[in-house]
Amino acid sequence: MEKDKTILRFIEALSQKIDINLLQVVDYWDADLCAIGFKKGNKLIYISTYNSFNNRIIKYDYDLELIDELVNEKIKVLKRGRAISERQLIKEIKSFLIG
Amino acid sequence: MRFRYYPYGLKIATLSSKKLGDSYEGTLKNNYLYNDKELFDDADLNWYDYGFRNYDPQIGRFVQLDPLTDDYPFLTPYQYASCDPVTNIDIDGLEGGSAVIARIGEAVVTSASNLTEVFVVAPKTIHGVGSALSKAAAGIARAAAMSNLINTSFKTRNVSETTNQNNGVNKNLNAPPPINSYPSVSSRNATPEEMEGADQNEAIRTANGGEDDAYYLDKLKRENIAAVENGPYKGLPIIEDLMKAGRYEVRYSYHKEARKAFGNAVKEAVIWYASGKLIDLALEYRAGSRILPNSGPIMKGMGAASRAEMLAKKLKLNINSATTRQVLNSLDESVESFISKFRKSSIYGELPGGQGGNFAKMTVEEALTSGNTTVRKLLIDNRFVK
Repeated sequence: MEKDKTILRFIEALSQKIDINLLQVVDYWDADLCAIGFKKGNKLIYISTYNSFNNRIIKYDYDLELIDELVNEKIKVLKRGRAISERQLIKEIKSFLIG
Repeated sequence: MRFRYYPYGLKIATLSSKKLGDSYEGTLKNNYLYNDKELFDDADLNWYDYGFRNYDPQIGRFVQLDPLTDDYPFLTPYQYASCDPVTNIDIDGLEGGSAVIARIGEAVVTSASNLTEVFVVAPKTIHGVGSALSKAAAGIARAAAMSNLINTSFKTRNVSETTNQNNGVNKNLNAPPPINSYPSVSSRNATPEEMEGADQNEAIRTANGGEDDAYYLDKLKRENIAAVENGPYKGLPIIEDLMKAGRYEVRYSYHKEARKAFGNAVKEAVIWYASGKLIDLALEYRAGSRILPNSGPIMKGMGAASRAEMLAKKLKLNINSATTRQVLNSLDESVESFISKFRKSSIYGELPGGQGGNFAKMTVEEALTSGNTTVRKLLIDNRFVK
């Protein structure tokens, strides 16, 4: 399995801004080269670059979810963000997963 | 032609090549220079166009205000690359993006590097190799921890066991266990010339202040190499290479080989990291293989395989994933039918329009090519496969 460079670069950028060891990288979307997830406890953030991977300026889509790891039957999306900048996304990750 | 730049983008004239004139050469001129941005050099302006703003490398600042300055009061409104041009490049005049793709141990790969041009800060002494070895192992462990490769091992460890008070690293359960520091390098800093001289042993003894090397070699072996060998990374090829470098290191007369082995290990680690292979390993480690229905080879009829493969490429799907094959083998099915066969029905609740809505009636191919992130996510999400 591999990931698109937009995702790899984002992970690297994120690790420069926050202690990424506090988060767990999850890949429920192993079929999608342009998607990755970060989890902490029962909070999950899904990130996708699919709609802009070819663009000069990468914009990100994200979903903030509350999950139940044991059941995995239901999906509860708290917030959706579409076409946002890297800086805004990192801010969201900080406030949702860390803050 | 090759140009070299100061960190903030001012050209170093004396180090930049000056190409000889070619009578057959046309007059095409490349204006996309520093960070691949277009240089406006009319009237000696020498500003780079970053999209949202213009950048003047002579002062290392943008000449217009940062449109996002209200969000970032800690940065000057004219800052370039978040005031850190060594690790960042400015993407578009709005924000600095990391230029570093991967950094493991003392190796750094930047967006400007080819993976084949990994820049390894080669240790100058055999003891430097040891120090670099520790850093590389810790770096790889961090990368591995980040991708869950060794999370499971750490979850069973006590926090106090993984906390190293001396260097402040490894302060949480997901972090790697401490790798002990080598004995102080400063007291043992034999120069490369000394190391490569005819009487290496004497040079090292001199650098050690006359102490017996066997003492240091034993100590290295006991305290450091063993820490790697007995750690949870055991068995990873990268770690095997590092261990090899470590073994070379304790046999100081082979320090050149140690440096080579270390360099290879770091290059390999960086390539693994950059290609996502660590994440791959993590998944293999955690999930093992799982067989999904309708996820066999894409061979339904003449041309079907190539159509699916082309679509996978266009849609940025990982053709090696069983979930991808399942989706590609169901391109002509309706989303509703696909979900009822292969996904848990609970995802209808999140599907735009729900069961019976527009997306549910589309074929899987139409839904994926629609560009709707929610639909894409739900169809591919392997948490909800039946």
